Amino acid sequence: MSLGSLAIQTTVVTSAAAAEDLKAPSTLRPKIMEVGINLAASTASTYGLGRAGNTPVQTAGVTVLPEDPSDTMASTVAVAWGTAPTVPTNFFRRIGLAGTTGVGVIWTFPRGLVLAASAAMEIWNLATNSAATNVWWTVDE
Amino acid sequence: MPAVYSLGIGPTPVIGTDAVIADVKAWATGMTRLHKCSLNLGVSGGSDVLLGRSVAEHIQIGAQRLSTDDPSDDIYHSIATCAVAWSPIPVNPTTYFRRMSTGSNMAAQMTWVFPSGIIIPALGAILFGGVGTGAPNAKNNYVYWEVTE
Repeated sequence: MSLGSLAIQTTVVTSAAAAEDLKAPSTLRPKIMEVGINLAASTASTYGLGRAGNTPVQTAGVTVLPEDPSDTMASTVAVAWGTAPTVPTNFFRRIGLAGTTGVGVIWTFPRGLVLAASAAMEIWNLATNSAATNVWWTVDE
Repeated sequence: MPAVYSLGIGPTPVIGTDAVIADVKAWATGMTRLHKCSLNLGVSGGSDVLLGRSVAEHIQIGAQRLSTDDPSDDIYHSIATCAVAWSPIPVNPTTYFRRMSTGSNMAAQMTWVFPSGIIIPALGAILFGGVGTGAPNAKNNYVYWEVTE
């Protein structure tokens, strides 16, 4: 078990587009343990959490940080893509956030939300959303 | 079972984007696990805050040990220490475990929980720091840390 976390701010505001994703490496099936969303701007925003409909290709993906510095992590987080994620068929979670900086949600998955190798989990814009939303992920590899 | 220690500290004196706000540092003799931390605005003023590992070793000024949650523990205070002033000052990381933005209301806050514990190796530190180009990060925050050793 290796736990890792990473927080990155979103940039994509477009409705019906991915805002951020976590992608599994080709060799592992990581478990998502926690996802946090927190508005950094006062723009009402609606998000969904679901599996990408395709296999996206991240641009400048950032590897999650090990919570134990002796571990090495492999899952990556991105806010831009060469091959953009497509809409999830269904969402595990959806939330509407009022337009006040600081509002947010923390979703936890005590047994882990499993990602298949090379698959991606999306934070999906279900409306025209804030240009700056803090999102963090905790994964168990 | 390891002993649980916690400490509330503040008000924090530092203000400014990219400034370090507070830290918890492991002692030279062993690692510490961070299980919970919280930041609470003691005054009104929006803040953009990160939680991450200090990039370089630093020296705390006025370091405080955390107190045991169970008075029957043999060791009353942690070997880890907390501070809100330093020389040299800790360096903010460029990637973070968490980041948040607060509204400008006094008492806006966040508590983060790490059930397995983020490991702080000997002489390492976890810090709250200012981040981003938004609102300046208010001073007079109240912070608490909970660790096991």
